[in-house]
Amino acid sequence: MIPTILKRLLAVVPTVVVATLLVFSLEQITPGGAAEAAAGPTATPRQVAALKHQMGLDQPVPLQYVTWLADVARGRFGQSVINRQDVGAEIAQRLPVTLELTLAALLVALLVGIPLGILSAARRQSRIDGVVRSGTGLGLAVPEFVLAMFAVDVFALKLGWVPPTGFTPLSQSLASNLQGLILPALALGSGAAAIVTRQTRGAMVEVMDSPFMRTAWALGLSRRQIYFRFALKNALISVITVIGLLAGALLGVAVLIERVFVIPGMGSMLVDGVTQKDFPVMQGVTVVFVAIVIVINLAVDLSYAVLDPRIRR
Amino acid sequence: MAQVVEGESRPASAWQVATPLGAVAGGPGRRAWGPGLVLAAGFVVFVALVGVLAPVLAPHDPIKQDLGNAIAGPSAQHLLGTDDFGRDVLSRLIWGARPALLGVLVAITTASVIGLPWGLVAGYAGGAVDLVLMRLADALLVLPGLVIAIAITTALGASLTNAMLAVGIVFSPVVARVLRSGVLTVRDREYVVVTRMYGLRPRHRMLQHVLPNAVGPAVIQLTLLTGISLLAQAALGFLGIGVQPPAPSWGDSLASGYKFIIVDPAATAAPAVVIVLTVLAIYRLGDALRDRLEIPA
Repeated sequence: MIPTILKRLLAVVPTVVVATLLVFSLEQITPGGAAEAAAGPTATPRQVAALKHQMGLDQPVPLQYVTWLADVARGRFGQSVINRQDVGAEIAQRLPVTLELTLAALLVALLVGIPLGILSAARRQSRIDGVVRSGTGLGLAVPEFVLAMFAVDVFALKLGWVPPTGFTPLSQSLASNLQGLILPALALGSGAAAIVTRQTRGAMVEVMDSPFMRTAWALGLSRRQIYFRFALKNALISVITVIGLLAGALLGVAVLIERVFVIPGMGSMLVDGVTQKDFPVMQGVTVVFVAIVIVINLAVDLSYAVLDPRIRR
Repeated sequence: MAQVVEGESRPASAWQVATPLGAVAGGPGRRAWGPGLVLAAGFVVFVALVGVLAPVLAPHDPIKQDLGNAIAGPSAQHLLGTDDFGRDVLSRLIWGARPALLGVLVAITTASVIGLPWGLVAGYAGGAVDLVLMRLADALLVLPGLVIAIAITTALGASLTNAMLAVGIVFSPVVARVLRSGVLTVRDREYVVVTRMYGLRPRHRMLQHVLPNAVGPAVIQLTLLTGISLLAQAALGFLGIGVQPPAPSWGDSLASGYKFIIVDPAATAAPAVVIVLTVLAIYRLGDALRDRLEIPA
């Protein structure tokens, strides 16, 4: 068990190196460099040079990377070049919002996807199976943010069931927090729900075709026992792996969903940073997103090893 | 932009129904075009034609504003109504097919140019080269694709080409992974071993004998990525990071329509329907290609 954990932890190292190098090098590939972008089109060469010095951009590139990495590791992301706000502090404020939204969407995906997948697999080749499968096909083709726009139109603007935009922090009021979260979470979770459904169905079908399941039927076990005690338990392992893949996808799409619902999370911070060419903001948000995805994937990998004895070795 | 999971169960396609007819009509190995596939192919061709013929087809100038006639709703003059600047929604949709086509082309070309050599070399060289190249691919695959694409686009400067270049870069490790597994299956086949005995140069062997036989799954992956890149383009356009307004694009149509969705949902629904149908059609073509190349899903 311990060697497995160590091996998985070591496997994270190249990912971290590649990811940080990528985010860091964005500054290098931008035409004119980050200082010119920050100084604006009207700045004189002298102003740009002064800003370059102030931002440490006149140092050798490898040194810049190491300095930047050391800062990032300590949660120091620098100041926004637009409003001089501390990027780390703003991330700390916005991160809970995005995490709540993403977790809620993941919950939606699992609560919808797993039962539908089981149903679809248990009634294989039936009408229900057909409906579920075309439904997931559509779920994969309709972008989450497009679904979100029509959800806002129908349920918020026309029916008035929930507020169309905005977000109440969890600390202020649980009720209005959840009310504002329902539509964004459902929309964000829709594509993931389709993926979870397909994965559950595929895994269930595969398990149900295996010899030990035939034995279970032959022993005369009840349907319920066969599906839930044996088939689902084995099928869930492959569903858990998908969660790792979904984490990255959900965080990315959350950027769009936050835009549709005007939610003050990491995504809207990223878009603002991007449109204003605010490198510290953009890099800070990207690094945090990447860190979350790496941690989730590591957790998935480890839980996978715990759940499946065959992988432990 | 979830990576398409390998080993997904293949949807029961219209093919299975069409096979007996196809066997009669086209002989062994040739299958008839089912109605679904004809529809899908027809739609993709239709979108491409609309893009090419946009100057002829569009009833109005897509950029010309008419603020006195803003958010007008469908009429005989403006079949899909006008947006908040009084611009004709239909004309913007028709012109939007151009950046859609161009963007997809840029993304897929970038993904191929980076991903194919990457996978080919990794699979063929094996050993330490393979290990390093695939570790790199794995590291990139874990990262949140859309966020990385947004970040790269900012660095390069917000434009359609740069945005889709970024999307292509994000896709490239997917292509590399799939091609590598294809290369591994053919690398030690007899016909490749024979070319080695004939003393063909490795480069020639890789390009002439390994690649053509290994590229099938990667081509199918690329058709799926075509659909995903269209979705990505709509997303980036919606955020204002892709095509720069006032130039028309489907993503921008979604963003501007959303501003007045309560009054005129049609202006948002039209680009949404076009995007979804195009993506579904592309996926359908990918499925058909998979069947034709007889690669198990």
